[in-house]
Amino acid sequence: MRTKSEKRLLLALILIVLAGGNYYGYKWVSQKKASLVLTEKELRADQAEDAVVLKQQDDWSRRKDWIDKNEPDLKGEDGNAKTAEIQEYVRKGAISEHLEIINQNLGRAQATPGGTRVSITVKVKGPMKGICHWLASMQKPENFYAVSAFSLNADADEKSMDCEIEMVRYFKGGS
Amino acid sequence: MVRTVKTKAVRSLNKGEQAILLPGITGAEPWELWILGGPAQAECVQTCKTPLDNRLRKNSTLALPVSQVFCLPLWLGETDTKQFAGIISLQLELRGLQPRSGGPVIFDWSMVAQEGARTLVTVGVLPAVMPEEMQSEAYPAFDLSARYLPFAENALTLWQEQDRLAMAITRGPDLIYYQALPETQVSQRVLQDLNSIRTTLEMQGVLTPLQQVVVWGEAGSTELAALRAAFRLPVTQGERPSPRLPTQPWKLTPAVVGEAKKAREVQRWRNRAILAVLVLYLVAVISILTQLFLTSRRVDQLHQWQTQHAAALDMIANTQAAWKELQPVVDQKTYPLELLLATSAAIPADQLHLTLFQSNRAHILIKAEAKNTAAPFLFLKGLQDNASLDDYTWNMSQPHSLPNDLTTFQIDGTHKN
Repeated sequence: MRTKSEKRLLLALILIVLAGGNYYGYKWVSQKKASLVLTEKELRADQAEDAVVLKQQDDWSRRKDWIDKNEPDLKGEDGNAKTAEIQEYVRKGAISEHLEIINQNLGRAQATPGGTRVSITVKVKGPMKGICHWLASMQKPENFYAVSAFSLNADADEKSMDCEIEMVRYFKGGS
Repeated sequence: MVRTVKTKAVRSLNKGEQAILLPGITGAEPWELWILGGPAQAECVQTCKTPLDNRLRKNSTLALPVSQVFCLPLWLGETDTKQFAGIISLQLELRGLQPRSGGPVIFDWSMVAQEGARTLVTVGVLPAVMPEEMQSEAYPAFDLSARYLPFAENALTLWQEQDRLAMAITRGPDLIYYQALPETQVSQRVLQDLNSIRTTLEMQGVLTPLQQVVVWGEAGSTELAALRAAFRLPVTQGERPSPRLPTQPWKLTPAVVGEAKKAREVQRWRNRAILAVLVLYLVAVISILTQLFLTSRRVDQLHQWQTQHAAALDMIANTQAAWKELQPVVDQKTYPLELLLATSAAIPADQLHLTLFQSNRAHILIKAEAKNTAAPFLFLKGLQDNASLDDYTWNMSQPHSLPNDLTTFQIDGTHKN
């Protein structure tokens, strides 16, 4: 049998333990809930943003299909890389428009999200009309050819122009 | 006396019925359970050895034996019944009937007669000490057995109660006095006590002239004759009649029972309060945990949604990155000739000519020579107004006039994205 004071002490001990347990329990639950609420808000914001993006899924899906279908392979049927093709393509174009090729530099193949990017820098000199025809023939999106940069400078005699272009072509297989 | 007593399981009470545990006639059957107030006549349904044997005790009134309740007829100089309790309490204190323990005296009273400004009452007082079996907490009400018996008017009645002789006197139809007698039969001593009681009551002006003596139960002819001789009144004999409910019950709850009930009631309220607090606590805990669970579930659902759409989002992000990279291929607006054409369209007619045109997707640099100072600004406005070039922001440096009257200037176009 316990005495009355022992019972009181036991009750006090139980109350202290309960109060402590409740304090720390509530603290833990509050922190957990605050963390969950924050996570939920972040996820909801992400979801709203993603939902907007997903509305364009069909468009992006079609674009992906188009890229997959049309982007040329880096290696030809003979198994060699097609990087030299771009050089030939540019050169032939310039010759056909009677442009003087001053210099040309073939860049290194570079892996990009859009595929393997091969570039060439070409500087030509000639009449404005020929340069314009040449530039127009260089831009061939269906073959993934594009002029990424160009510079047109009037020559001192003002009868011909200096034109420097950076030509790029994209192949399958990027980063 | 022969009475049919049911020994089978006691039935439950019907509506309007009341169970009374009355003291029995003999010590062999000390308690009788009666059911009164129903459509049928009063019925004795059980005999018990102790009040605790009563199966209907939680709905019964325990009618205390006459021997356990002290009777005090009082003339009160008051007619306001609200004052009676206080006056009676003082009268009891005056007569030394307050318990020595200092606790409250337990009593109840009935009004018998009113004469002018005074009122005659019969007071029943509980002793400080009672047999333990009669202080059962199981009973909701306590009363006096004599109040449940139908006495004849203006009569002295004798009957056996638990092998003990009890007497009661009525004034008109009302019970005015009762007492347990010291012996089991009508003896000389009993007769002396009865005479003494009668004389005392007459002296107090409590009694109206008695008209008869009634004996309930077995009594010999000598006893009846002695009674007749002592009181010089007709003596009748018969069985104790069935009990009946009094018009107003007394509340003679023993102090011990009252305190125990009060303590139990306090304990009950305390338990209810603890239970209420516990329920509130549990509701709060459940509510908090439910909120936590629901939030956690919503977070899981959002994670699930993200997982379900991860492939599609990944595809879109990759394609967007690829499309951005392929901008020189797929975006006509960035084609050099398009840019050059749009720029040429902005040139004011015959007022300037371009000397340099540089373009990559992010930046356009234009250098030109104008014939006058207004032409550069017209050209700049033309660039800014051209819808094909609205992806660019245009800035022009201060035009510089040459000695040959020409003005050179430079315009930078920066892509907005």
